[in-house]
Amino acid sequence: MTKVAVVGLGNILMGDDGAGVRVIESLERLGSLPGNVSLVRGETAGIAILPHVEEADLVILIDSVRFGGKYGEVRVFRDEEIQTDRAPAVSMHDVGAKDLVSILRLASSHLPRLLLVGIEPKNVSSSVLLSPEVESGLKGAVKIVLAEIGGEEVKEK
Amino acid sequence: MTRMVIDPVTRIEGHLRIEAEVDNGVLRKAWASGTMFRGIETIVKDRDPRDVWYFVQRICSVCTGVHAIASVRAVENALGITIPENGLLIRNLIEGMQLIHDHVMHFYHLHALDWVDITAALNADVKKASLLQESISDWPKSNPRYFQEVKDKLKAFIGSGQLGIFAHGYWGHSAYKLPPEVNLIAVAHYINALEWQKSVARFIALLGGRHPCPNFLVGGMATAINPDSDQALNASRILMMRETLQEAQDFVEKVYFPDVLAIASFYPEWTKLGEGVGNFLACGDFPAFGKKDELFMPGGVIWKRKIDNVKDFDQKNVSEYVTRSWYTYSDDQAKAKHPFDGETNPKYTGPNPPYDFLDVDGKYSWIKAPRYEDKPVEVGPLARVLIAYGRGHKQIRELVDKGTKQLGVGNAALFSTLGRTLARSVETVAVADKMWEWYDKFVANVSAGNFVTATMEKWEPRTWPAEALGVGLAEAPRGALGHWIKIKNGKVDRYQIVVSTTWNASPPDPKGQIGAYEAALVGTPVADPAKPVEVLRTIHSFDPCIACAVHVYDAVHQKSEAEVIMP
Repeated sequence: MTKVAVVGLGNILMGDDGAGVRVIESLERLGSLPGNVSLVRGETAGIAILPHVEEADLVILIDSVRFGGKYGEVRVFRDEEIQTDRAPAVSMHDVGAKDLVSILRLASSHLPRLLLVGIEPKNVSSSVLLSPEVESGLKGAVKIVLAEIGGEEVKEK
Repeated sequence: MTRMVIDPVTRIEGHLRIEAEVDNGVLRKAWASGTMFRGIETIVKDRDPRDVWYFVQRICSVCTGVHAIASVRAVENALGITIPENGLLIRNLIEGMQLIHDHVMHFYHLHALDWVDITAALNADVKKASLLQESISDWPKSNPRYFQEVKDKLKAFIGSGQLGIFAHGYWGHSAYKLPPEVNLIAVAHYINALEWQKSVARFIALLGGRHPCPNFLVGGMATAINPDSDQALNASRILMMRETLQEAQDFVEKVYFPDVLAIASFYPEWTKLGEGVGNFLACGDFPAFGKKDELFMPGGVIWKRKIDNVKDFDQKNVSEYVTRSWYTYSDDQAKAKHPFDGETNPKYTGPNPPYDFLDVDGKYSWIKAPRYEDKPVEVGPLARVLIAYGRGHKQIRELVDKGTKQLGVGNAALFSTLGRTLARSVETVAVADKMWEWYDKFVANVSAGNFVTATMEKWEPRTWPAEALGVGLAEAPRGALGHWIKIKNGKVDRYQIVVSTTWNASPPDPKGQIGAYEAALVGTPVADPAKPVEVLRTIHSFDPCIACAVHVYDAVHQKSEAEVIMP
């Protein structure tokens, strides 16, 4: 069976930066996910997430990403779209999503398919709350993840 | 005179900017600035003190556990709680494993790349690499076929055109001195270290319930122990811990420590460069149960390199200046404050971005200036190792002597860039070894039917005094860490954190005494100011972690901390 790891990245103390972790929490609350799917609260860890994802065939990373969209807008980046050379590590996470992708490319014996679900943040500053825009964007991100992991299931059958 | 700026310094956590004057290929003066700030103290104010660890461990990603430990210790100190032996052993085991993990990953993934030219590894002769590896240790991954695989993998990675984690390196720089085979071995171990993390993650998750960000508890640990239950830390899981601990230790002894010595042997000049302020401080950590003052890594203070004259550390002598930092104090600006009276009032007065240079004669950093007895000190592995050495710590002495002997240098070589790097690997070996003692004691307790991990005696706020002050100290991988709490009517009234990087990266105090980073950089050779790999060597030797050194997010500039990934 295809193994899927869904990883929420970000710092829940830094407002919208924690959106990825909030998506994992929403998925956890749904409860009835396929057995091949593992949810990972990656939070601010970078390299330390590797053990959770390296056996997966599909890795879905959820993180706040500034891609120039509207606040709370969700955009999906697939495999090669996830550039790893742009800008030095300006993440507060020790390594961010792009470094994780890069490390998987170098170190993993089999390269999983990669999907980055980016949520455009509004407020990245010290707060445990999401901005209203990002809060309402979470649903969209959850939907996208569900569609992806459901899709895997269908293929397997 | 050339004015040089490195912003951001890469392969560290958070934002650090270095400005420097370079003259005739030598760095003459440096200024270190934390350019981003955030407010953890404001988030925990008025919260339940028992919840604070959960928030503070998210200050940054790397030393998560150690912030949590300092926090629960501060609360326990305020309320007069003594935790049971299993709680103490589990904390030591988690903290010890995090230190091992942090040091190994720092070396291979952040610091080694200052010495190892990744691209030059492609020129290695795999047979020679194999022979060399076999001469270094009995690490099994050493045959030529294995090194060929690594070489092929690296070639494909570099050939893909996206250097990713290796982007922004100064590959091909004349300061790189390793033979191609050593470069290849280091790349192989870079990849091995990634795989090795699995054992570490499993070990911490078994004890802390999850990884990253394990669970802590005021009064002990929340670990459920029951040898016969599937839902708890049971007999088979305790055995699994043994296996993972062995894997962790093997890598440290057969790969990490020998690699540091092997790489260092090609860079003898770096045992003479990069000394900081010559003063060292450790609060000490890894307590022993029932012995109040016994710490596996002892605390202490060394002045002016005098290793044989270690003074006792007392948190009362810690204070912080903001004279050169973007904060104000409510009263006398020029006076230092002890953390119990500490204030974090941000007031940015720096230039508006984009700018060329900071006003280095005025305020220029979000990092405060902590001082001990009004003097700057260095904290971190080197401080801990020197203090342990001075206090006659048998194992530390043996390891240091082994390292210096192999490099053909004396103890004076420790006061350097490579001294820090060596000290980091020395304490990793020592802690990995000590882990067995904590583990065996824990297993003995559980075998004897002692499953108690926490005391709930003072859990209820009604058992607390109306007001209480507490200090929680811990040795983070990067150095001494202190949390100061004032509890009032069951809530957090004041909270101040002084983190390791703040000590090392601090700007000058009113007496003009500079901090360890700025001191260590003076005299650094800089062959090409556009590619300052030499500066990175010294800065990375401190293992900077700016994410927690600065306290409040930059509300002025609203710089994006989110990943910038554009298709």
